[in-house]
Amino acid sequence: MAKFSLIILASMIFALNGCSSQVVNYDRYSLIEDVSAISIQSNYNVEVSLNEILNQPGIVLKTSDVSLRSANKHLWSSSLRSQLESIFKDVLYKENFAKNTSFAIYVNKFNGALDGTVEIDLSVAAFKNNKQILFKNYVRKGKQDASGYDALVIKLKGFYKEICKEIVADIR
Amino acid sequence: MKSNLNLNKKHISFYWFVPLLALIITASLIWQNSFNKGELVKLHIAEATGIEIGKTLVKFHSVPVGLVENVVLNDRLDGAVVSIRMNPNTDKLLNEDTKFWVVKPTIQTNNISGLETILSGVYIQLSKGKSYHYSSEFYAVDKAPIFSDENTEYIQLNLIGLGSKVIKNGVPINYHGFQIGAIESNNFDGNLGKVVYIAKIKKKFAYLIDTNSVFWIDYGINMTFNTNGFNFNMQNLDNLILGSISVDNQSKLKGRQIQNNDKFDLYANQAEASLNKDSDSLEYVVFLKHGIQNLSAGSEVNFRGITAGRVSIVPFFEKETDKFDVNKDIPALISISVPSKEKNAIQYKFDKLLKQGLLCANVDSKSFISPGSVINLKSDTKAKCFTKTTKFRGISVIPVVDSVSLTQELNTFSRKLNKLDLDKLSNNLNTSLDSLNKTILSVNEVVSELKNKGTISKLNSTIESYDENSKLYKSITELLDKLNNNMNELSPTIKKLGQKSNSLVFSGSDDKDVEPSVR
Repeated sequence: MAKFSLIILASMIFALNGCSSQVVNYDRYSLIEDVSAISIQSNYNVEVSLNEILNQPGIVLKTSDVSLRSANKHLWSSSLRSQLESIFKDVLYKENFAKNTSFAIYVNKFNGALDGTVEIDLSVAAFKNNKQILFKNYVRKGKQDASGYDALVIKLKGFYKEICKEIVADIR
Repeated sequence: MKSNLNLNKKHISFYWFVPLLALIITASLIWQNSFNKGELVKLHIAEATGIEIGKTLVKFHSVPVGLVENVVLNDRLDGAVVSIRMNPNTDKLLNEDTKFWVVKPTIQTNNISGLETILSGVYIQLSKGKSYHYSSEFYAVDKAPIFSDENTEYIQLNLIGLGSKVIKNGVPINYHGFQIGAIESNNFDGNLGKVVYIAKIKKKFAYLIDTNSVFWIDYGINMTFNTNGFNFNMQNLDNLILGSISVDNQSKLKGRQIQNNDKFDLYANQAEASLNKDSDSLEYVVFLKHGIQNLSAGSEVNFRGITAGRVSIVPFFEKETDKFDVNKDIPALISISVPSKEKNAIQYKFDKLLKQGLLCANVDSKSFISPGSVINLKSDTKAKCFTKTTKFRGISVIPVVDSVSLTQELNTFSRKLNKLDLDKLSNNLNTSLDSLNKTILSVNEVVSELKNKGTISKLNSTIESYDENSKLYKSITELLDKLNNNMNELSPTIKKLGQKSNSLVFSGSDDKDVEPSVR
């Protein structure tokens, strides 16, 4: 009887195993591959907050005028918020910007679209000695150079770096 | 030859000079005593106290101009007649209206004079008149003229005293502190029942006064103590000792220039003067329900917070016996000062308010620090008031509404305080304090026990181990990051599981993400 039960259990395990899905593979995308560690560790006061739809692990794609979808298998390697902070700190560090200015960045759009359009929309408030010295909206929109998520991430990164440099220039 | 010559000369003997000199002196004396005498003046005086024949001088500007030759009783025996031999060439002083008075030491509350006569004896002072008629018989005046300069021209006024204080003669009349006149005499007028003062105003200052001017007695010191603070005002020492009369034009309207014998009221003080100036009064009766409440004649009557009148009579009972009737409220007669010209119009308005129940009175404390009370008249459309008795002794009655005065509130508070069982409260408080002491002792024991066992230091070290730079903190942070990453990775699976419950076992065809494509 015991042997019969063991055979039934083993048969069920094999059956389940046979029906189960294949191995899931995730693609992880990083924006800060070229950012030095010293920039990330710098004491610049930068605080980035994201629109709720962006606060997810997947890359966001605009599927229609009114719908957005977060990718299931194309994920950010680390949180988008920390990556955007690191890029901006890197720009500030390289521009040798004074550390007595604090920045509050709200990212409204940071996504691609099915038709290859890349879109960034963010606002920046800068404060110096408890006085607001900048409050401005920055928008970038353009086509990615090639199809796929790699090209989308590269375009997003390029636009974001442009905006960061423009912010520094505006304050100066 | 020589001898003949000597015989022919008649020599006057030196001895003849003696009778000659005597003759000249005699002639001179006769001239002095008979022909070169000044006028002999008869002066009628009431009393000849201190006047001595051959010693008492007559002076004019402190220069002797005559000497008393004789003093006799007059025919009616009610005075004396002093014969004064004036010095030669002093006839010009003897005008018909020239005045004589006896200067003797006088010490009064308002005047000290003639002190020099204590040693020198009395003398007779002369004040030259202006008449062109000569006279040799005079009647002495009682005292010196109020204006030392005999050339001073003045206007005489009658001031009717409204206060109870009697002003002495000689008291100055001031205009803005500057003396422009003085009281010459006073007399009680039986018909008026008041003191009437004869005031003399120097003519050169008469233009300062007109028929709209107001006179009041200035006591020289003004001290008020009310909610606005302590106010002390003193003009000068003379005023403080003697008192004075002030006059001012409180009306903007210019009146007629004063003339001799014009009559003015003399108010008891400036407040009365300003209140009653050019004014008439409306009289009303107010019934006091809770006793007289520190009210008295003269207490303020306020209308909308502004002093508008005074309490005239309180109590204003019809019969004296009414004050013993506990069922009767105490009537108070109040008078509200109104401009004479507006009296009828204001009375009409007040009567209309009374009919509509919109004019009410209440008695209130004058201030927190003052014991006096005031009557407040108010017109409030939200709080109407009426009284059954609309007339009392022919005078309209203003209804009284109860109000809780400060004094009453303090009394209530005081009564409650008295009722409070302080002993019990104190015992409770002591018990509570004992309990508190015990609790504190227990807490101290616990604290000391904790200290002894090193619990606090352990707690400190534990808290320090959670510091930002501690290993534990970093480990926790790393763990949370990993957990967060894992959750992120699980997120699509959970989402998929929510959409398709068997997706964990059976893979679907829609697993792939849509790709962005550039066409």
